[in-house]
This record gives sequence, C-alpha cells and structure tokens, in this order.
Amino acid sequence: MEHKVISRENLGKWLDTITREYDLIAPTLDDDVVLFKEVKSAARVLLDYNNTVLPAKDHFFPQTETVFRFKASAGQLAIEPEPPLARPRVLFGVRPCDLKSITLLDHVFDGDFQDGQYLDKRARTVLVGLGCNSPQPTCFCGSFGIEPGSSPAADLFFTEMEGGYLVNIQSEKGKEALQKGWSFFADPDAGQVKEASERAANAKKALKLSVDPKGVKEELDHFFESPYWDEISPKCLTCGICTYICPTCHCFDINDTSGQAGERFRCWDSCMFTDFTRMAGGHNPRPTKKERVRQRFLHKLRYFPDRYKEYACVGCGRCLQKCPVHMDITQIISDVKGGKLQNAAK
Amino acid sequence: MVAKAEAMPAKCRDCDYPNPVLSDVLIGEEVQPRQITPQDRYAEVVELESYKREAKKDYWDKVFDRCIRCYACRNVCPACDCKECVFDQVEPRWVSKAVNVPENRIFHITRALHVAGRCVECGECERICPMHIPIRKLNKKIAKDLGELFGEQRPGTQLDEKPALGVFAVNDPEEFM
Amino acid sequence: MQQSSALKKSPLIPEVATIEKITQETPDVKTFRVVFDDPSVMDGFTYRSGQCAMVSLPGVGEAMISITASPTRKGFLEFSVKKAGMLTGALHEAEEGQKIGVRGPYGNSFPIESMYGKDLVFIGGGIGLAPLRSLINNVLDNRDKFGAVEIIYGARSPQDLVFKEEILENWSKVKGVKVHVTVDKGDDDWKGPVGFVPAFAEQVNPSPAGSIAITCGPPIMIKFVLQTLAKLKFTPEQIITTLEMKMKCGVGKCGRCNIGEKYVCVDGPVFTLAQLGNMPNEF
Repeated sequence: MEHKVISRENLGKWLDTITREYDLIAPTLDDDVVLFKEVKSAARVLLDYNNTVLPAKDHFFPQTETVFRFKASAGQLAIEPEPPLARPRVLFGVRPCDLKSITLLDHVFDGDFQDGQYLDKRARTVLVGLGCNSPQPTCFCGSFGIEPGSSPAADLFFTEMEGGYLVNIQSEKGKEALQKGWSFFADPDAGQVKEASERAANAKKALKLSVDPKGVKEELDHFFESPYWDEISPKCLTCGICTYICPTCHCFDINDTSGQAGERFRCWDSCMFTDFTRMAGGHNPRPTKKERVRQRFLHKLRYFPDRYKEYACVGCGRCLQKCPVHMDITQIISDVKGGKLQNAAK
Repeated sequence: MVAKAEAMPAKCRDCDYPNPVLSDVLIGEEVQPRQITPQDRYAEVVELESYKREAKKDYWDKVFDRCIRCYACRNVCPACDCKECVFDQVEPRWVSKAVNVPENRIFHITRALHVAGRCVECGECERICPMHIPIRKLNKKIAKDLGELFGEQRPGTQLDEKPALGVFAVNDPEEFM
Repeated sequence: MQQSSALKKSPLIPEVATIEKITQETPDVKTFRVVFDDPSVMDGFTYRSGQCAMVSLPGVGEAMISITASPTRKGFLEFSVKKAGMLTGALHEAEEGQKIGVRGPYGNSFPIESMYGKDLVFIGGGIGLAPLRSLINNVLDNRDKFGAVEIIYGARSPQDLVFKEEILENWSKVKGVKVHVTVDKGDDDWKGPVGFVPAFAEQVNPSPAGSIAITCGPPIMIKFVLQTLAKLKFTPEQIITTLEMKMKCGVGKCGRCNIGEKYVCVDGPVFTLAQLGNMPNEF
C-alpha cells in the first residue's frame, strides 16, 4: 500500500485546497454537538473528537430527501427526478465503525432494485477514514471484526501521529483527491510507518468492551418467542434515538407534500414508532413495545445476517451512550450467548 | 473521580425541590432546598427575551435545525399522556414527517404548549435529548408567561391546585377577545 | 463502488399512466383500467399473476395494490381498489383520463407452473377476489393445462360481490369450471346460498386429491378457510394464500413489511401454508 505523511498544518491547507473542487463534509461543532456537516473552510473541521453524535449515513441516506418533484394539472402529470450531486464530495474523518456501516448499507441500497440516489452519493464521495487512537468505554467495534485503527472501506485512511498523520492511499479515487494538494504530502520514513501501526495496535488493545456475537444469529433463530422479550422491553420508551443515531439502521418512510405541485420525499423512520407497521384499517402486527424491541434486535442480529451474511451492528456504542433507559445491545448479545432466552422460555 | 456538581445534569443544579413533595415514607434525611430567586430561575429566559425578534428566530432555528424528531422528549415526559399523539396520527397527518426547521419548530412549540401549566420541570426532556436542544428554555418561557398572566404556579407541588390552563376564571386575562 | 456511473434511476420513481376506464364494482370497490403513457413502458411491464404494483397519486401518496388483470391479456393493467385509506379514498374520486403513477411489478407470484395438470380450488372473500381473478383468467386462458376448476366466492351482501358479470357470464360457462357464490346476508332479490365462506366451502367439499387450493380474503376469513381446508384434508403444501402488510418502498429496503427475515414486498405476498408455518406469527 502506498503511504504518505502530512503535517497538522498542511492538513488544513489540503482540506482548504480540495474545497475548490469538492464539497467537504467533516466533523464540526454545532453548539456543543459534534456532527458531520458541510464546511467551507478547514478551520471549522474538528480533529479532536471521539465520534460524531450522528453517524455519516445522513450524507448517503439523508434524514429527509426529495425523490422527485411533481406537477399535476388537468390531464397532465410531470415527474422530475431529483438531480444527482452537483459536485463530488470528500467525507473527512470517518471512524472505522462508521466506515464499516456504510458497506453494510451498500448491501441494502446496492442490491436488487439499486437505489440510484444512494449510489450516486456513494460513487461520488471520497471516504476519508480517521483512526481511533483512544476508543471510548462504550466502543466495541472489535467484537464485530473491526479494527479501530484501520479500515478497508476507506479511500484514504489517516492515522494521527506525533505532529501529523500517516495516510494510507486505498483507492484511485482517494489518490485523485490527495493529488489536488500533492505538495502538502511527503513520503514517510520507516519509523513513521511503524509509529502509525503501533498506534493502531494500541488502539485495539485499548478497547475495553467486548462481546462475542458468534452463533448469536443461530441461537436467535429459535427464540422469536421467548419471555425474555417481555422482560427486557417494558423499560423502552419507544423513542427513535437508537434507530436514528445507529449507523446501520436504514428503515424509511415515503411521503408526499400535499397539493397539485410538490415533492415526494423519503425520510428516516423507526421500528420503534406505532405508525411504522400500522395499516390503513388499524391492524398493527407489532402493536406493543415487546414486538418493536424484538424487531429491532432481531433485525440487527438475525434478519440482516440471514439476508446479507453480516451482523448489522458495528459496535460504535452510540446506542449505549444515548439510550435514555440504557438498553444495551452488548448485554442482549451476552444474554443470548448465555442461554438466557432458552432459560426464560422454560 | 468526578465531583458531584460536575456529574449533575443542568436540571439538577437549579432544582429547588430536592425532596419529594408527596411521600408516605421518606428514605433518608430531608435535604435543605436551595433558595432560587425568580430572577435566577428565569435568567436564561429573560436573556432570550431581550433578543431582537430576528435574533430570537435565529437562535431557535439553529437548535431546531439539529432536531432529529426522535420524540424522546415527548416519550419520556410525565405530562405527555395522550392516547394517540397528534404527531403519530397518519390520516390525516397534521405535521409532515419531513425533518426540517419549519416542521421541527411546529413540533417543539406544540409539545411545549401542550404541557403548559402541567410541566413539572423534571427536565428529563432536555437531559435525554441526543442533540442537546435546550428544551427547558422553552418550557421555562411558557412557565414564566403563565406566571405573569395567571399568577406563579409550580405544577406538581400542590395536590389541590388546578393547572392555569385547565380552569376558567372570570378575571382571566383575555387580551385577544 | 469505486466506479462513477451515470445516475441510476431511483426505484421509487413511478411511470406516468392514464386511467382509461373505471368500473364501479360495489359501493366501495372500483376497478381501474390503466395504461402507461409510454408504449415501451407498457410493453416492458411484464408481470405474473399474484404480483402487485405501487399505485400513486402524487400529492396524496402511494399504495401497494395487487394487479387483478391477467398477464395473458396485454396492453393494460387493472387494479380493483377498496376505499380504505387516504390514497384509496382519493383514487375513488379520480375520473377517467386522470394521470397516475405506477411502479412495479413487485413481489413473487402464484406458482402457476406447479399447478399444471392439477385441479384448482379458488376460495375468495370480498375484495380478496382481486388477486385471484388474475390467476383465474390466466388459468382460463390456458384452460388445457389445468384440471377441474372450482371457484368459491363470497361477500358480505349481494351488493358487495365484485366482478359479478365476469363470474356469472364468463367463468361459470367455461367447461370444467364450477362457480359457487355465497353472501353473508342476503336480500329480497338474492336467490343463492347464504352463509360465511369457510362453512360454505366445507359444504362444497372440494377434494384434495391432485388439487391446489388458493385463498385470499380478509384475515379472519383466511384464518377459518385454512381450518376448513385442513378438515377437508388439504396438506399445508397444497394451500396457497397471500399476505398483506404495510408497505412503503415495495423493493425490500424500507424495513416494515418483514415477517421474520422475509419481506412480504419481495419474498411475498404469495406463500404456501407450509411456508407460513415456518414464519414467526407476526402478521
């Protein structure tokens, strides 16, 4: 793999340079909330952060996105699809957990019935990863085979070191973006490459939280029905926090603005909400917390692997941090592994 | 180790009801309540009220722009008790599911007004908001306005007190009539 | 994912079509005959009996509706729609000549090849005859490929029977086809049988030998028809039904119509009772 190094100062210059040709999306502060947003200048890019409150998915699968505009008049109907991105984009500073989650969303949006809007954003976005040198207590990416210090899903991968960053060039698309400011980068010496790999190794060792998901899907295959779901669900508020901050949750709704001219948009939806499955006649196959909590965890740990052969969790730990009632997916995985669903069923 | 004051959510730092207002058995010693003056209580609101109209709008638009409409503030609220919330109704849909500033604004203002006079200022809405929206400021603004219109009340502290918007009195201000 | 390509069309964008004809079937059911404005779209819209399409009125919304036309009859689509929600209510207000959006076809279909040489028993209730009608006309247009056909149909009242003319004038006159119609409650003019579909089907007493039963109707009817068929010794593999869940995308992505790992929009709506037996009871 080709490597480069860049000083902290030059990183800002490179980011400013690429804004001439790319839209730059990077972690930035909105009051005290860290979010991926479009920034016009490198000065607004936050480099010292653990992770963003919302994952990067919003920039491929926006919370609200126009699908097409329509205009209806007597005997006429015009449908105008939303145009593709005006400019290519650089998405800077994505952690390995979120990078992995994008490859999981690819299964959904790049499978049968390819989603053109998602794929356009995917194809025209340079993914720049940033290694996690100090994982948080809620991080458990390692449990899903993700390394906090590297990611094959990135086009470019940055590792923070003394005075700057080591850059792994992982695709042609990435190299092209780097070349917009080639002079800001230098060739690393052997010591720098070694330092970066040591930092990555240390980050992996620093992961405190771990679970072993092996066999969880197979176990869950037998326990759609288990009193366990009755035990864990009462405390759930059925709010949408976990689903909206989750980098792999991808359920959506489609609605129209009313009137003769307007738009059809899609927006994030949540399996936690009552109207998610409630039909026009009033029948709801998932009427209570129990069915909805079960759906969320089975979707991640059984149904998604059934369809796409991978778990839909990347161990980013956002739900552990933000769930108001501390619903803990690592605890649920441990309970499944510990035979708790089976015991509850007895 | 973290100092208690640092670990405390903002809502606890300016709480003046540290003891349960109603209990059959109280475990532990009563805590001496902090004396909080109305000036302190509404300091943030007074500051916002001093903003020019446009600046007020900018302030709220910026924070509402961040809202992801997860409805955690509503779901955790002890005063939210509708059988079916207006924001969950589908036919008709009163508020669009599109997440943007105008729709988010309607959501927040409706939520705050609907708990007007019933909000006990537990502050859970703000504590659990993943996007750090200053929801208590909205609640306090309404509490302050209600106090000025109908006399200061502290909902949830008096068993026999009726919420200001739940009763009619002939001397209620009716400036709009 | 590295390659940059021309923007693929979103699968959520419908094609423009025109409502050519509206038939009032019952007080709350209308059949819409629909033709795509672009002839190449019409020609390219190949579907199988049992499949559905997303019908949309921009400004109101979309709904997944089964295609009641038979693929053996080309050049148009037909949807029979019962007034239930916002979209179906607005569709009922539509007039001939109005433009709508249609995308699809979606879902699996009735396994018609596995029915070759078999006797077929159709059991329908109310608007549930709509998807069955596609298959019935498909079968009748390929009459020599199938054995005897028994059609058992019922509705709440004589006014609620859909496709009345077709049932009585066309289907019942085809050789080897027997039609049995019942109503839950008759009126002064009704001379036929009165009673609920499940009990009526038991009286008709179709033989399970070399047969396949296909049933569609309101959930409560399906529930009791399945019991009747079990009593008549039909095996779960011989019983085919269709499911209904709330759908939005129709293409297996939006995440709400799953029953276990199966998405009803792409893996359904047609399932054998044997398949249903292996799925979680959450529909």
